[in-house]
Amino acid sequence: MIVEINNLVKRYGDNLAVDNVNLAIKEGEIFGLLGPNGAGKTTIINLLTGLTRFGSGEVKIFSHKINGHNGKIKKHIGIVPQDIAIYEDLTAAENVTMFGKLYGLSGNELRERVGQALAFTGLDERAKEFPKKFSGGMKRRLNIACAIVHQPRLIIMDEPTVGIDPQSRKHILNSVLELHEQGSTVIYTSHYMEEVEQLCSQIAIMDQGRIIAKGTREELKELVSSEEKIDITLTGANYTLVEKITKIPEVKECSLGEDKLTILTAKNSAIIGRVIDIITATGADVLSMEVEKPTLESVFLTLTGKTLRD
Amino acid sequence: MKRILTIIKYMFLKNLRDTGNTLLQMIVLPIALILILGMSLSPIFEYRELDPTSVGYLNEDEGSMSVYFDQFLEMPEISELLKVHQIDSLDQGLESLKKGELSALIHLEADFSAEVLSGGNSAIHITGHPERELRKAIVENLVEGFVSGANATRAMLVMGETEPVYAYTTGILVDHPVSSSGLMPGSMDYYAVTMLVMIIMYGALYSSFGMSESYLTNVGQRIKTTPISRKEQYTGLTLSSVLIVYLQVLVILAFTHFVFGVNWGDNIVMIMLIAFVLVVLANGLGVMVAMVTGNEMKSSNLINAFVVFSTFIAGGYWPINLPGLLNYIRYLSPNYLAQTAIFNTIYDGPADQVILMLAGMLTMIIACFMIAMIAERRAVK
Ligand SMILES: Nc1ncnc2c1ncn2[C@@H]1O[C@H](COP(=O)(O)OP(=O)(O)OP(=O)(O)O)[C@@H](O)[C@H]1O
Ligand SMILES: [Mg+2]
Repeated sequence: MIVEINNLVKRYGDNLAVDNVNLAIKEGEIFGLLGPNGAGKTTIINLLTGLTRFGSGEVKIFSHKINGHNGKIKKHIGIVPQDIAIYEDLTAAENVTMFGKLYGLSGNELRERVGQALAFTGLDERAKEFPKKFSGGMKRRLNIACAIVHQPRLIIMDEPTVGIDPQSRKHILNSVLELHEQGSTVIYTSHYMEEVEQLCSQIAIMDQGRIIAKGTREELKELVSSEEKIDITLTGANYTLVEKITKIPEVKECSLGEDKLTILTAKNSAIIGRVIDIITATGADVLSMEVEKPTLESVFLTLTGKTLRD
Repeated sequence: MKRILTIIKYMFLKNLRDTGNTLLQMIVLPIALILILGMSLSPIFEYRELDPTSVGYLNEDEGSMSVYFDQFLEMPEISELLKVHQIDSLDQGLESLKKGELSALIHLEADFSAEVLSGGNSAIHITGHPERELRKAIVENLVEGFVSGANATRAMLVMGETEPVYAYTTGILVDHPVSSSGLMPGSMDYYAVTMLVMIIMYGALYSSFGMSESYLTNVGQRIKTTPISRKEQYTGLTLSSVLIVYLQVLVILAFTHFVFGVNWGDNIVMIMLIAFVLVVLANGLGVMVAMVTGNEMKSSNLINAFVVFSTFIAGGYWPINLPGLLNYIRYLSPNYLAQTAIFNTIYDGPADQVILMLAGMLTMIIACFMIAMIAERRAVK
């Protein structure tokens, strides 16, 4: 285990920000921490890095118990803070160099690593520019570059894609996968379920300071829904069609909108072939079809009765 | 150590770059102020070499203590500054004052000696010509010098000395832009000092901002997640803001001297030392305010307000003379301590006065950093 969190509790006054959290993160994983605003994700990260004073519980990183400042351990961790934390009056390269130095790099090694970090985040051509002139997405990428310059074993990213353009977002998600391939362990927090779903092998879902579910994404989805939804866009449909489809045993519900047929079925019921046959038999034409599988969003909805982004 | 240097280097770079706002302002603004104030207020300071002030002197004392005052007035240091005319009655004196023949009247009442010896408020009355504020201020200061001597003497009497000797102090003269050597700074010389001091005090904004940004919040929090220790981070930040403000000091010193011909005296090393101590003090103040408020807006508002107040009571904008006890609050003004030390250095005032002011500043430095440390412990949640 690269990170072990046992019975972690943190209070701010009456507010239980972290409520008896237990997590174990294996080396080489991309670990997703999913939760809505105020769930306690950042607080957990701050406890991991010693920025926040412990309530009670225990944190071990690289099998060392964390207890105040520990330079040796910090050297192998890279943190991408939720709020962009770079100096606007230092160039991109200077920002990365400064953090490289603070992590103990120097000389040629430093220069090389700075180049690599900037290239990795797609900023090599703007290395000499000031972040003042950067777009939000570029600042986010620089924010990441500063955290990976020392090629840490453990990278912690706190909502690294908040408020940015799709292109930068894609770039960032790809870099996470790439860092993972290079052997780093990544802890990734987000309230975008698509991201976590796409990236993470292990996921913990948090709400109000508590871990309400954890496991692989498949395991989590098993937790929910017993049904699937099929949306079919078509022309020339009529109500005999609806009647016929409703007679398929696995179908729970079928409704027809203007040009859209919505079918709710039991999970993994494999009825699509039969449905298509019925449609063509009635003389209607299928324009498009979509099968909606359960998402982490629906997992969250089921577990808490509310949506992730409220 | 290496990490401290890293912090210093990048903070320094960052501050230099931030030209639009602070750095340029911190150099151009004071120089412009020195020039503008120096030129427009020069009538108040029109005498470079002070000609003696004409005073009327009426001594009605029935005891023996006033002899010492007579001796005091005859001291060469005093007679250089005051041209004393004996007068026979208060009315006569007031008449001459009205006519403008005299700038001020000094009047010892009949119970003067009795008052001094009994520890009462010994009555030396000074009446000034209404349009000659500065002259009146000079007379008041000189007399104050005597009174401090009298107080010392009274203390000796209380302690059982049988033969009291007056210890005249003249150091206090430099409270005002008047020195014991009889030289007086011109307006440019005056404002060069007070504006330099003021701008150093505004340096507190640097350190408070630096602490907020690079220690308490945002990038500062991020830096804390690297292997640097808090002590190193703190030290690096403090040193870098001291360095940047001190550089401004050197530029202003050089510029005012070579371009405006401001008189910084013969002992420039001492001036630089006093300025350095004040830079550290301002820095400590900024750090303290940042740690206590934990809020950038609040910090900068507080510092701005304090610097204005501190400059004002120190007579930084124009020379002022506060009535009675209020005068003592000046000792709470770092500006005042630094100005007094600097004026005494330039105009050859007594060395112990300089040392006293420096000691006051050092005390304030220690207090600031201690409060900052206590507040910091509280701030980490
Ligand atoms: N310094 C603090 N003082 C008091 N309360 C705090 C502090 N930091 C966080 N909290 C509280 O702790 C709880 C968890 O906050 P946290 O920032 O960890 O949530 P989060 O999951 O990171 O949310 P977000 O997605 O908005 O970043 C919240 O209720 C928050 O108000
Ligand atoms: Mg957060």
